[in-house]
Order: sequence, then C-alpha cells, then structure tokens
Amino acid sequence: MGVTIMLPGSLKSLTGGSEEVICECGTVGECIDCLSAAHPDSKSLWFNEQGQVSPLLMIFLNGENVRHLEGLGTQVKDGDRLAIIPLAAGG
Amino acid sequence: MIVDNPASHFVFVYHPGIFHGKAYTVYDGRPMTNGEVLENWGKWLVLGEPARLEKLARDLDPYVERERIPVIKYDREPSRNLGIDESVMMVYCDKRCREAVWEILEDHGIKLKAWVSERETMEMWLPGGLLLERWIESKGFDEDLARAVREDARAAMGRVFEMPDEIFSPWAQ
Repeated sequence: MGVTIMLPGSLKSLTGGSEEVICECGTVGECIDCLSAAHPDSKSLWFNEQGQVSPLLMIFLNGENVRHLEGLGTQVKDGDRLAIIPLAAGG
Repeated sequence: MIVDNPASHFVFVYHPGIFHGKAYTVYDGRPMTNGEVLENWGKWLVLGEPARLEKLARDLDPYVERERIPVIKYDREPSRNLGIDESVMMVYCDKRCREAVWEILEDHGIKLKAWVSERETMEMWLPGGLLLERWIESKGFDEDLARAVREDARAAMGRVFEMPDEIFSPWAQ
C-alpha cells in the first residue's frame, strides 16, 4: 500500500509530471530520498547545498507540518499521506 | 458572500455579518485574543489554477454562510514573485475544529492536506522572515524602502505577539 506523496501542479516537474507518487518507506526523510532517487535531475530542488531539505519547501504528514513532529525522522506507515508544497503557499 | 475587490490581491469569502461587526476569529461564541489566535488559528491550504479556486469558492460559500467555515481567502493570481506558479486558497478555522472543516474540503475533492498555523505565517512575514525578505528582494526595494516595509510589517503583526490579551483585530489586505 505504501505512503502516498502528493504535490501541487507547480511541483509535479519534480516527479516527472505526477501529482501523486506511492513510496514504500519508513520515515519522511526516506520518502524524500525515494522521490529524489527516482528523479535525480530534481535533486537540487529538494536539497540545499548542506544536503538538507530545501527551506523553500513545506512537508506535511496527514496535514501536519513535519517540523512539529520529528522532522525528516518522523515515522510513516502504510496509508499515510505526505504533502509537499512551496513555502510561499504558506503565507 | 464572495467579496472580489480588484484593488486587493485576495478574493475573500465572508459571512455577510462581517459588515455588521461580526468577528470571524471566534471560538465558543467569544472573540479570540491575540494569544488565542497565535495558539489556535490557522488554515488549510488549497493550491490550484485561479479558475479552479473561483469555482471552489462558489461551492464553499454556503458553508461560510452557515458558519461551518469562518472565512476563506484566495489569490487572484499566483504570487510568482514569491516562487509559486499556482494560486493559493486559505480556508481558515480554529485548529480545534479543523478536522470538521477538512471533511468539507475532502467532500469537494481536495486531497492534498496541509495545515499552516497563523503563527507560522506571521513569523514568515515579520522582519527577517523568509517570505517578507523574499518579497522585498523580488520588488527590488532600496534599503530605505525595505526598512519602511519591515517597520510596517512589525507594526501590523508585532502587536499580535506583544499584546496577547488584546482581542485580535485583522488588518486590511
């Protein structure tokens, strides 16, 4: 079943045109790695020069910003929904 | 009711009572203080093309009229200068009611689930905040104008942080 990763239209180029991607992963960070590995050209958009997820993205697990959970180490389980949006959308 | 003032970047969906003194930052029948807004107020984000959001606003308007959603606003056009190619709709509510509001959105086909608190948004628009600084940069303001913009932001939002017991008062947008 896996984790469903959802992106708005403006970010779907990061996934080769898909707004929904299913990943088998154990943490939020592994989900991002999974997306990045599948679309290596997009890696610079996901990560900054320090290898951290770009501060210009917001990541939500079942609606909650993962900053308020355990960040990239937050555990995920089958059926969870991960949403990734540009930071600018939050303002 | 949908309030579409071309002078504003935003289109709003309000309860008509708003023009007769009705507050929308209310919980349990009582207007919220600044501190309560920072603690509990926020919004579900919906991203999409302007035409899609216009239709969604019309579909959600009855929920605002029936007070099941406190207030909605959305971009007239995408804020491309901030790095986003889609318009954003913000469906506001108290986080203690947010799942009931989410169910309404889900019933209208929204799948991407993202909650942002008002505190987070204000922090991004305070001096030094990522979005305010990006916006200033995108406008190419000189240092004097940038300083004035930061002062305005501090005046508008700083009070919310500094006066937690004061009743929250939204600012014009």
